[in-house]
Amino acid sequence: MILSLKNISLNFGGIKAVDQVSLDVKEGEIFALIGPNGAGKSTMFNIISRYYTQSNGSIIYRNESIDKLQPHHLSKIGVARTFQNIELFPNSTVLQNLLVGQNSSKSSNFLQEMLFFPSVRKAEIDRRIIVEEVIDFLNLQPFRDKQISALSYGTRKIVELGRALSMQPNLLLLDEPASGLSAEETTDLAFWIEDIKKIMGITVLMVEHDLNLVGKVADRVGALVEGNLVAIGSLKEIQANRKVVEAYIGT
Amino acid sequence: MRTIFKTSYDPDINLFKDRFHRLCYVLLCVVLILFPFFLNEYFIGELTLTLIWAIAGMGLMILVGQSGQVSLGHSAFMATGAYSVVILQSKLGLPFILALPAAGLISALLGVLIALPTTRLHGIYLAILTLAISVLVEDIIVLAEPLTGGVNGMFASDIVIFGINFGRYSNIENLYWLVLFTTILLVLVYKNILRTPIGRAFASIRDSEVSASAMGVNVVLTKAVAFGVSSFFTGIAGAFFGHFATAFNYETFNVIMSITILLMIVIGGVGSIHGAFLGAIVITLLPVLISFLRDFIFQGTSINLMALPGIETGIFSLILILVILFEPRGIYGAWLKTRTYFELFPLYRKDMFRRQKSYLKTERLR
Repeated sequence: MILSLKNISLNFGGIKAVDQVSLDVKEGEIFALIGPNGAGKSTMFNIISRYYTQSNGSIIYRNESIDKLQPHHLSKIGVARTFQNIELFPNSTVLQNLLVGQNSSKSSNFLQEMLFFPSVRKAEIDRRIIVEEVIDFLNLQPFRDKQISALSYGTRKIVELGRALSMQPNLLLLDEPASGLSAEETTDLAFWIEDIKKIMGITVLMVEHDLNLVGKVADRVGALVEGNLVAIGSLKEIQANRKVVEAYIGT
Repeated sequence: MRTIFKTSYDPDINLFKDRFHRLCYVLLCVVLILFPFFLNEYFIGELTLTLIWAIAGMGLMILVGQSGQVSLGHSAFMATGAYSVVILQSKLGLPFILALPAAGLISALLGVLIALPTTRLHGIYLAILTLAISVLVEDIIVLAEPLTGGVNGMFASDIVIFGINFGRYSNIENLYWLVLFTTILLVLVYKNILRTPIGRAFASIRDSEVSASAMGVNVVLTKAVAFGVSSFFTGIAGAFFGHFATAFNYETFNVIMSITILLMIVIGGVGSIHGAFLGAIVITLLPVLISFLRDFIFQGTSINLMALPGIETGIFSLILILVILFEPRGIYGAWLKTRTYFELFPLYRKDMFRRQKSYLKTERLR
């Protein structure tokens, strides 16, 4: 188990956004969370990446509780995430955005950097090599020196995936990676997610509405309905589940 | 248009894009070093002041342009620098060469102390708080009379390093070279910030704090570092400003000074080192130009503009309004556009530099 959620609950006032959710993500699998709007999928993500603190329950990542950690600690233990609405740094280039992903692995402090010690240059080149691999992987070469504000929505989505990958994570959290992408871009994305699992060996936990994409890549699927995890299984099993069908179509 | 073929990652890390680029800056430095040989003392004095403003401008630029924080209280750091350096010299007998960095560090410490509790504040709230702190520092200076001379202020004796005199009135060329040398060092530090992880951390908290923390950037710490580095630069500028003014009191470092530094970087162009220098040139050149014009008009038409004391502030504000309306990227932005126009001639398009609207941002998470 790379990630275990044990009885996670979160209330916003009287609303139970997430209610007693327990979930295990296995090492090396792609796990997709689906559910209607407002089911608590993104809230779950924000709890896992520590932007929200759950009112109950605990999160175990690789046998250690991460309940006490803050968002910026997660990159160090190998958890990266993307955002549903793109959260890139719009006034920097693609390359600079990806390099930020390498910030947490730096060994120099800011004084050494301000005086540009020789080791800083070496570390910069090492970081660049890692980032260039990501650029190669996602075919971002044409955009390397482009400002984010000059890119199309689809490309920004890919850059955000790239930025998360350049953190060299063990667990990748993708919040609706295909929202707003064209059919063609979604097909590319499916291949990339497969390769992220197979070639890079990264475990993926994703929230996605596009069931075609989920069907193509996900090993297991969990369905959230009104903060409750009602079913876990293959997409076929989920689609046959009465509760899930009721939640989507109504009774 | 020159094209650079890159065969390694080094050109992207180096300070200069290519040899031509480096040659330009070396020539600029040489010209600046040679200025005292063919300019009179008055202009050397003005140049020194320009460089001091430019250092202060770089200080605020790190905070506003690089890290996206606001400060209306940078005069407080100028004051800290000026008072620290003189107190360290006169009360502790420290030589200037040690007192200067110490004054910078004291300012930096003040900056960090202010930053730590205020990192939750954004925009206008942070501006008001820093404004309040600058007023507070003024009061503290008056109250701490045994140390600061209270209302009467302080006198800065001539700077002496290894027996060489850098006096404002006796050896202005030496002072100019000293300030120039410090400026070049600080520009190098600024450039290093831009090309290393710390600069990227600054840019990340400027653009999106939410994703900065997802990238492993400690937002609170980074803001504190940004404030610290910014106030270090400004403290150094203040230390030189004190020695340049030779006599100063709490009123020297008032709110107008904070606003002047802020206007300077806005007019020069927020987000670039060039902007700090261009803004500093405008700030020091403008009063000279106005007094020159005033004399000229008086001689020609015998209209005495001396009777209008607010004319400097008026013209300054007018320039600011024009800049914000027509060229929000400041003088440096205008220069970039002009340069691109000629580089791409005749392919330049008018909306080339227009910012695209940013897409929907993630709703506040806290």
